[in-house]
Order: sequence, then C-alpha cells, then structure tokens
Amino acid sequence: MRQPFLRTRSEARARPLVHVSLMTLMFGAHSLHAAEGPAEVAKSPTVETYLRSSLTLYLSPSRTMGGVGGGFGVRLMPGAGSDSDASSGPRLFVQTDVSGRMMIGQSLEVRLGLGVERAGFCSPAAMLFASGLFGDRLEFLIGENPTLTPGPALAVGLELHPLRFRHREGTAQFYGSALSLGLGVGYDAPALATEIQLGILELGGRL
Amino acid sequence: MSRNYVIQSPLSLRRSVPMCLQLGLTALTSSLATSCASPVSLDPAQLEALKPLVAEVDQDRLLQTVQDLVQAHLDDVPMDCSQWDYTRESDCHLTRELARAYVMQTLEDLDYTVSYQQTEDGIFSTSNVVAELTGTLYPEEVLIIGAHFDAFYSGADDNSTGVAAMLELARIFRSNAFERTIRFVGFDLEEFGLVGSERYVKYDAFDDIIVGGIILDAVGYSDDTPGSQSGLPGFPLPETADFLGVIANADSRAHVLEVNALNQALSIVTLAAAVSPDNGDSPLTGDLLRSDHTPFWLRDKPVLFFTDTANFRNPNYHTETDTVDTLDLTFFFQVTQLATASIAYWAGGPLQ
Repeated sequence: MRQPFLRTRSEARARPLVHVSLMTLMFGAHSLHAAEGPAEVAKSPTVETYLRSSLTLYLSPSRTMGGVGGGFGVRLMPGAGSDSDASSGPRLFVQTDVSGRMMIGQSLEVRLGLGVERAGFCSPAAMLFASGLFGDRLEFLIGENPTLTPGPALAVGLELHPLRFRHREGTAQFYGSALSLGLGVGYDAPALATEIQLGILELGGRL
Repeated sequence: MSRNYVIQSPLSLRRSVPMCLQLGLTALTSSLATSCASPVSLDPAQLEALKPLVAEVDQDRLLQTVQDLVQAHLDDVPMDCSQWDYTRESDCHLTRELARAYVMQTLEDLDYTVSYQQTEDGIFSTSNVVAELTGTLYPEEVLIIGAHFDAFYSGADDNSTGVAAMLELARIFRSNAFERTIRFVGFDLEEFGLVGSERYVKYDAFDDIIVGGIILDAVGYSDDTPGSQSGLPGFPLPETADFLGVIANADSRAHVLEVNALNQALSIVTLAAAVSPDNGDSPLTGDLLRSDHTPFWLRDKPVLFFTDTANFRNPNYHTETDTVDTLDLTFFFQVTQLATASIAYWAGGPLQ
C-alpha cells in the first residue's frame, strides 16, 4: 500500500479538478449566452440520435483500458424544439452513449453527459461526463503489495467540442462534430487514474 | 487435489454470436471474470515444503552454466546468413549447435531421458530438446519450463541465463517427486521468429494438457540506476530496471497472481507483472509477444513469461557486449529461485 500522505494529496488534487470543470461549464454557458442574446423560453424538448467514432484511454498504475471504436447515443435537449439559428441562446442537453472499443482487447464504454451548446450553425459545446469502461484491460501488479483492480473503470471529466456545426432543413436538423477532446479522472485505489477522450467524428440529428 | 487451472477464454463466445454483440458480451464477461477474482491463499504446508527446494538454487553453479553456454556460443560457427535476406548485423552471428549439445548433455548427466523434436526445413530446420519428470498423481497434466538456446554473439543474458535457470531447475527437481509432470524444453531458433517453439506447440504439444509453465528469456540483467528502465505507452513500468517482468495473458492470469503471492510469501525478488487481455494479441500489447510463450498463448496454453525486459533496459541486447560480466548474478539467482518455487507449487510438490 502507498503511504497515506500520497492518498491525501491525490484527493486534494481531485477536488480542484472537479471544481474547475464545473466553473468551465458555467463560464461556457455564460459566454455562449452572452454571444447570442437572451434565450427564448417555452420551447419543447427534442431528442436526437448520433453516431460517434473516438478514442478513449483510461490510465492508472494498475490497469490500462479503452482503445479506438465507435458507438451511438441519444441526446435530450430540453427546450430546443422551436429555436431558430438567429435568436436562440445556449442550450442545455443531457446525453448517453454506448461505444465498443478495441486495441487493448475488447471493451464497452457507457457515458452519461450533461452539457451546454451554443445555438446556431457554429455550435461548440462543453460537457461534463461520467463514463464506465467494461471489459478487457491490460493489468499491472507493480510496487509494494500490488493488487489487480477489479470491475469497470469509472471516470468523470470535461469534454469540449470546439468544431461542432449544425444545419437546419425545415424541421429536420443535422450536426457534425470533429476532434473533441475530453479529460477525466478516475480512482483505482490507492491512486488516481487519468482518462483521455478524443472524439474523431460525431454525426447526428433529428428528423 | 483438484484445481481448475483454465480460465474460460472470451474467444469461445465468438463462434456463435453475431459480430455486433460480441464486443458487449466479451466486455461484460471479462468484467465479471475480473470482478470475481479472489485473493490467492497459499497452502502453508506446501509453502514450507518449497523453502528447502528454493534454498537448493546454487548461484555458483548458475554462473558456471552461463559461462559454459557463453563459451559454447563463442566456439560455435554462426549460421550462414548468406542464405537469407538478412537486415541486421546480428543475423550473421547466431549460433545454436554447441549450446543445444550442452543442454542435451547436461540433462542426460542428470539422468533424464532426452528426446528431440526435429523439423526439417533447410537452413531453418529446428531441433528442440525435451526432457521430463513424470508426475506421480496426475502425469497427464504438464508444467512447461522452457528457454531458447540459440543466441546472437555470446548471448550471456539472451539467453544463456534462461537456459542456465532451466537446467538448474532440472537439477533441483531431479531428486524430488511431484504430482504433475514437469517438462523441460530447450527451444531452437527463437531469434528468427519463435520458430522452434511454434513447431513444438503445433506438432508436439498441441493435444497435451499444459496446466502452466514458465518461459525464461533474458533473466540476468538489472540496473538500479533511476531512469534505467524504458517503457511503452500505456505501460506504467517502474523507472528503475531492478525488477523481474512477469507477463501473463487471460489464460495465465491466475498463475501470475500465484507467482506474486509466492514471491511475497518467500520475499524473493522485486517483481512487476503485466496481464495482457484475451490471448495477448491486441495491437497495444504486441510487445508482450516477443518470446516462446506466444505459441502457447495462441493455443490457449497458460504459460507465463519471465524476463528482465531485454532491450527495454539492457544496452547490450543482441550485441557482442552481451557478456557474463554485465549480468547481475544476485538478480539472476533470485529469478531462478522464484521460477523454482512457482513450478514446484503448480506441480504439487515436492512430495515427501
């Protein structure tokens, strides 16, 4: 086991990271809102689906998980049903997606996200996520009294989508996002883990 | 004593399930398997019985055997590299004949019945050396202890150390009895693509019930200088090259836990283990497939790979400076002790 002071320092580092993530999300929402003017209200919720290809790597002293792969997801955008490109403000959304991953055996990733997106054609977004990786992993027994870490790899973090664009065609709407980047933190006792999420391409929309 | 040595491979799921469901099923079964892993509890009586066996490892004899093997390589005539398109300077300095003869003679001197597994293939004909100690209770269950005897230049670390450790185990085990069969295999032509071990597993051991084993390849070099260990992306190895690398796949995962438990109980050597998923052939884990354990892994035979990590720490790797004076004899001695304890433990012995 590691020395107790190390655990304390790790936890101490984890708290500011979560704090910064929340601040970034709120700042992002504020900035997007300011750029677009006051938001309209009383919009109906919409549901859109998407496909994504991405890379996820979960790195801790006891295991490495993830890999490249793809999957699909569903996004709920409360109050975004009747907005127009010109007048709407930032939009909150919740989403969930599932992806299969290969490169270190085979694994399955499930994510939940809560984010905010700028309205309009250019629609960058920021999202807090919680993810779970299930399946194969590269495991390590290193250091004094090492143990293998069982179960899924869980992490929380912040993901940014700077290159996200939406196109409206009547009531239908399509979007594409390229090169998103997420950074998360997990915990494999007694150490912290880092999760890197690199979105390659995401395509979705609603009809 | 009944023990379940084989972990069900996720590979078996793939035969009857559509591709779109394979990822999910494999991931979930793998998660369940790793979640249910229980701590290893060693039999105290057997642990006590292992101690005198481990104490029999003789450091002076190990050194002498390595020196003999190195001399055999230096006295030998290298393979004629003009017969193939070689790309590396070292390819013209591979020797094996005298080392093979040394392995055979040593095993015969220990009163083993030695056999060859020969395959004719022109210049790449191979002749693996095989000897075994038959188990008293479960003779059909086999433990493999293997090392390749071909080497570049004098090949002190790679792989006279592995061969010397194997011969030391053969010497120690000869005067003891075990429940399971212990088989010693000297592999030919590892350096040209695991040729000997591939042919051995494919033609000789395919139907054997191999319940465990250790492949020893380069086990005598260490360096306690901080920063002396190189790594790979995704592999959180220690920065100091003073540990034994123990490499497993999903099939041999239980064995690596037992090796770790034995090592802790007997306080032998600093150890760093990696367990590759599935049969070990994932893109990120390709560097874990660089020795004679690979043909076993690809046929679901649960063996472990013991190594000092070779070129990831040893600057003499595949050069003429791979000489005896560069070895860490204490480290080499400890690795041999751990191999002795592990094989004896799995073999169910020594019997009183």
